[in-house]
Order: sequence, then structure tokens, then C-alpha cells
Amino acid sequence: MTDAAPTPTPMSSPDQSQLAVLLAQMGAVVLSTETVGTTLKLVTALAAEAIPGAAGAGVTLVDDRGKRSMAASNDLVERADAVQYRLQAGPCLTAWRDRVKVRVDDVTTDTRWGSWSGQAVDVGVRSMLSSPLVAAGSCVGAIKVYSAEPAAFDDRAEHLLELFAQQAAILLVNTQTLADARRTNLDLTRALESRDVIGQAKGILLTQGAADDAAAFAILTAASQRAHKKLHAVAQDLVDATTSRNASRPPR
Amino acid sequence: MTDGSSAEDPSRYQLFETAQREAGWTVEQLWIEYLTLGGTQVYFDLDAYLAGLMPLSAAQQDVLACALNERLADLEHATRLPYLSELPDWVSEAGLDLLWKQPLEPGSD
Repeated sequence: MTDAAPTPTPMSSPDQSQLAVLLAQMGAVVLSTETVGTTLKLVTALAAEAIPGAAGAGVTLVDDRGKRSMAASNDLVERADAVQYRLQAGPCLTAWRDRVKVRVDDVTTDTRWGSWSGQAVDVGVRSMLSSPLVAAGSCVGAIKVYSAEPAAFDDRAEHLLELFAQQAAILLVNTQTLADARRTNLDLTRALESRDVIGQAKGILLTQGAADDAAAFAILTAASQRAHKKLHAVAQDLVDATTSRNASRPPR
Repeated sequence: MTDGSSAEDPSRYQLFETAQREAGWTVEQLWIEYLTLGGTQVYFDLDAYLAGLMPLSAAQQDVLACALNERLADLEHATRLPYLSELPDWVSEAGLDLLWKQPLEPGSD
């Protein structure tokens, strides 16, 4: 549709070996302790650098519950993405939902996404590329690059973004898995600490006459409701009261 | 705390299932909170109870109820799950304060 337009040859277009360096940079992330947020930023910055003609890049991740997180390399991308989310339609959402790469050579003549085109022009976008992020069989989001010039992306750019998206998807999924494991680990550590205090409090109540574990727990829930405090907090109070009593008396 | 429901009531799990949805927790999140409060059942058994496939003892139901009640209070939901166990006779409501301020010597009366 923009056959007449000359294909721009960006001055700083990285060759395959430069791309390899970029991909190696992404690979190194898994070994360090990056969070999903910083990894998103890195992938976005690398994409903006790696894809010839890109004025800005963005990544959108969508988790199983439909929650989105995104990163944008500059304002142009943020504005352009905001239009899509507002309309719930646009090339990146199509890339993600249909798992297809999408190329728009000139938004002023592209009618595939209705009112998206007009609004994209308003925020300064003329052409764009988007590729789905697919890893381990599931589509976790989409990556996209924008340009203020029409027909900024050629077949090679399209191919590069596709290669890049494959690596980025693996990296993002791995980081997400690592973050999940770390969170579960923290949750369990906190659970054990709290459980220990509650166990001590139930032990104290047993020595005070509670018939069994269930009776001790019932006393704790009653105390918790009465004091409008969490069960863990009243358990801690009881343990503290008991230890301070013991400290003020000689051992028997 | 007497609401007429019993641990064996076969439809009681639905109260928990509804509360779990209101709490916005996955079964895994609920299980961790239940463990935090001293719950002793494995994930599989809890999941099965919430699906109405397996019974759960009254004591464990109370631990589960407590986990959900604390979450619902945090979210400022009005819903609360009733507890099955009653406060032992020797503990009065007012006696709770005393118990906390002056824990008795073990074995003394």
C-alpha cells in the first residue's frame, strides 16, 4: 500500500552480529536477580535500539487474569499505546490476541482498526510493527516499535523484530517464573513465622486450661474479635505477656 | 456464635467458596493464609473441600474461616463466616482481657 515510498535505510542499523550482542545481553539477565519490571525496561530499550527505523519501542505483558503491565521507551510509545487501550483495539492487541505479526506502513491509509488510525496520527505515529510474545505455547503479550515517518519498517526490520520477540518472550517468562518462586518463598517464610507464634499462644492457653487445640484456637479468635486485632497480633501479645511475666520472676 | 450450622452440613462449603471469591484469592493463596494461622490440611484436601468433594473437620473449618474473615475485614466487606467452636465455659468475654494481662502460672488455679 506504500509501494511508492522509498524504503529508508537507517544510518545506525545494527547487523546480525550486533543483534547477537543484544540477545546475549538479554540472556545474561536470567542469571542475575532482575525483576519483571526492570526486565521489561531492558527489553524495551534493546528493541528500540535493535530495530532499524524505530523511534520508540514498547512491550505489553498480559497475565492469565488479563492484568497488563507495560514498558515504553519514550512518550511517543506511551501515547500511542494509551490510544489502543482506550479503544480496546489496535495493531498490538491484534498481535497479542491473534498471535500474528502486524505491520502498518502508513496509519493515514490503514483502515483495519477503525478510529485507532486517526487517533494514532494525532499522537505522532505514522508507521509501526508489532509481534506477539509467545513462549512455552502461550502468548504473554506483544512487543511493538513505532515511527513518526511512514513506511519506516521494511521486511528486514519485521524479521528482526520477530527474532527479537522470540528471545524476549523466553526471557520474560523465565523472569516471571523466578519472581513467582521468590514470592511463594517469602509467603511461606512469613507463614511459618506467624504459625510459630500462634502455636506458642495455643500452647500457653493449653497450660491455662484450654481442653484442646480447637478450644485454644476458639479463645484466640474470640480475643481477636474482641480486640479488633488480627489473630496473629493477639497471639503475639499473649506470648509477650507470658515471656515478660517469666522474666520478672525467678525460675521455678 | 451459635448459628445452627454444623461441620457436617454438606452445603457449608459453599459459604467458604463464596467467601474465597469475595476475598479475590486463589486456592493456593488461601491455603498459605490457612497454614499461617495453624491449619494442618494439605493443599489438595483444602481444594477438595472448597469444591464440595471432601469433608473438613470443624476445627479446620474454623481456621479456614478465620483466614477468610481477616481478609474480608481488610477489604471492608461486611460478610463474615461464623465459627463452629464455642468459647470454653471457663473463659468469659471479660475474662479474655485478664488472660492476656495476667497469664496464670502453669498448673496454678
